Amino acid sequence: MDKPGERLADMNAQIVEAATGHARDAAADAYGNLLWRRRLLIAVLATALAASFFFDIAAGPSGLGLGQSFNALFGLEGATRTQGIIMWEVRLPQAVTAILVGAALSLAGAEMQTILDNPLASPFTLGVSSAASLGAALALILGVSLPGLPATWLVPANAFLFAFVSVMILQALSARRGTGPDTLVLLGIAMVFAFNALVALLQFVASEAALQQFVFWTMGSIAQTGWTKIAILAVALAIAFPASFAARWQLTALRFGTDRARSFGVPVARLRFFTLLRVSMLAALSVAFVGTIGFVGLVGPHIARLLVGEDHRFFLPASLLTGATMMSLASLASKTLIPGVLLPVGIVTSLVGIPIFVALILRRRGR
Amino acid sequence: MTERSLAINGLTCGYPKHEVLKELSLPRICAGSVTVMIGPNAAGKTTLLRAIAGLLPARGEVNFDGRNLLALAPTELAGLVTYMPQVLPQGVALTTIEAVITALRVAPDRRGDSDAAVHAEAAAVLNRLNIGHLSLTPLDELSGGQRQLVSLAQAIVRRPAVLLLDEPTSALDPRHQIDVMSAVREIAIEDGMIVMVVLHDLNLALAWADTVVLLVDGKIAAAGPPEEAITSATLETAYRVRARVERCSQGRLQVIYDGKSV
Repeated sequence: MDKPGERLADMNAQIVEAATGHARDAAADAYGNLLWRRRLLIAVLATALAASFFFDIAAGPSGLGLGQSFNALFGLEGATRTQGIIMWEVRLPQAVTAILVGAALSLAGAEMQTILDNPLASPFTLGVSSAASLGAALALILGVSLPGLPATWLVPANAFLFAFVSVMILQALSARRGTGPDTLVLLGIAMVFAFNALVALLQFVASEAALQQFVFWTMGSIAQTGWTKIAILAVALAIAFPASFAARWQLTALRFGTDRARSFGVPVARLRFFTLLRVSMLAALSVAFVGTIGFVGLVGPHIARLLVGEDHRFFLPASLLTGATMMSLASLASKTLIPGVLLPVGIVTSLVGIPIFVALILRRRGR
Repeated sequence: MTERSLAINGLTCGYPKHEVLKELSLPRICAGSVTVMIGPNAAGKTTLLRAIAGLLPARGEVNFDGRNLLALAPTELAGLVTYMPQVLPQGVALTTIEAVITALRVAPDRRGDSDAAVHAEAAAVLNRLNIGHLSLTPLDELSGGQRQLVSLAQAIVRRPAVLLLDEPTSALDPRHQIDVMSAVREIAIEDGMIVMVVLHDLNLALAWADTVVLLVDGKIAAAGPPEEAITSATLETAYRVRARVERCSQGRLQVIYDGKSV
C-alpha cells in the first residue's frame, strides 16, 4: 500500500478503534486533524506566493539585485532616484498585476468549474476571452470604441465591454427554462467560434501595423500595467472573493448535482447568476488589462483541488493562491528565461500550463 | 398531539409539453411509516417525488401538517422535505464526512452551529449507517453501495419531516439492500419521518413497505398494504408479466416471475 493509502487507513483506523462509545468523537477528531492539514497547506501556498513575489520584484533587465531592489523600493541608503522609479513604476506594478490577474482568473475558473459542473471550464470556455479579443481588435484595427474615452483606455475598455456583454448574453440564454450547465458550455463554445471568426475577418482587413499590435495584445502582457489598473483589479477581487466565500457551502453542495442542492435549499438559479456575474467581472477585467492569459483559470483550480479537495472553504482560497503563484512565477520566468528579453507572460503561462494540464489529465485517466 | 401526515390531492405536474401526473391523489401517509412507490419505467414515480420536493412546477395540493407544501418558499420546503436522487455524482473531490457536513451546513437553520457540533452529528449519522470507518475516504474511492449509504446519510442528517428516496437500493448487493432498508425503516419509526421510497425490486417492497403505491402511466393502479397492492393481477396490468405472489417457507411474501404476459 502506498504512503497516502497507509495514512488514510491509519486515520480511518482511529475512527474504528473507538467504535463503541467514543466513535463519534474519534471521527470528528480525525476530521479535525484533516482540517488542520488543509489550513497548513493554505499557509504554505501563501508563503510560496510571497517568496515568488519577492523574487519577481528583484528580477529585471536593469540588474538590480534583491538587496538593491528593496533599498530602492523603500528609499533606503544608496538607492538612486532612477532605481526608485524602476521599482515603483515598473517592477512593483508588474509583479502586483501578475498576482492580481492570476488570483482573479483562477478564482473565476474555480467558481466556473463548480457552477458548470465541468472540470474543463475556465473563464475562456464561455467565450469571455474571444469576446475581449474582438473588442480589442475593433479598437486596434478599426479604431471603434466608446466616445469620450482617453486613447490609453481604448483597448481595455473595449475588451471589457465585449467580454462583459458576452457573459450577459449567456446569462440571458441560461435564464430560459431547461438550460442546464451542458447547454451553457455549448453556447459558450458557439460564441468562441463566432467571435474568433469575426476576429479573423478583422485581421484579414487589418493594416500591418495594427495587426502587429493586435497579435502582441493577444499574447498577454503585464508590461502595460499601472496603478490605476491595479486599483480596479484589487477592488474587483475585494468585492468578488468575500462574495464567493460567503457562498462556500452552497457551492460545495452544488457539486452533488442541481436536484440534490435544490433539495438542500440552495437557490441554484440565483447562485449561478451571481457566480457568473463575479466570474465575468474578474475575467473581463483581467483580459482587458493584460490580454489573453491561458491556462491559469483552468490549471489553478485543478492544482488547488488536488491539494485541498472541493470543500470550498479551502478550495476557493487555495485556487486564488495557486493562480496568483502561477502568474507570479510566470512573470519571473518571463524576465529570466531569456536574459534581457521580457517575454509576453501569456506565452509563458501557456508553456508552463500545458505540461501541467496534460499531466493532470493523464493522472485522472490513470486512476 | 395529532399525528403528522401527508396527503396528496389533485396533483398535476410534468414537463412543459408533457404532463406526467394528472390530478393524482394519494391516501394519507402517516409519520413513522414507509411508503414504497413501484411501477414500470416512466410511470411517474420519480416525477412524483420531485414534485413533492419542489423540484418541478406542480399544481394541486400536497398537504403536510395543515400546509400545502407546493405553496411554500423553497428554503422553507427544504427544511421539511429532503429528496435523494438515484446516484451520488462521480468526480466530487470530497471525503465521506465532508459530504454529510455539507448537507448539514447548507440547511438555513444550521449555519450558525459550531464546527464541533456539526462534525459530531455527521460522524454519528455515518456510524448509524455503519460507514463511520469510511469518514475520511474520498467519495471517488467508495463502492457503489457505499456511495448509496453516503447519499442516504446526507439525506437523514438533515432530519427532514418528509424523506423522499429515489431508488436507494439500485446499486447495492443484498446485504447492503437490507442495511439501507432497515436503516430507512428504523429512521422512519425512531425519528417519526414520513418516508417515500421508489423501488424496482418488488420483493424489497413486500418486505419493507407499510404501504405500496403502484403507479402506471401517471395514475394509481393500486395502493394499500403490500399484499393488497402487489398481486398477480396488478402486476400483469402494470408490468405485463405473469407472476405469482406466494409465501415462502418462512411465511414471507415473494414475487415469482413466470414470464411475459401475452
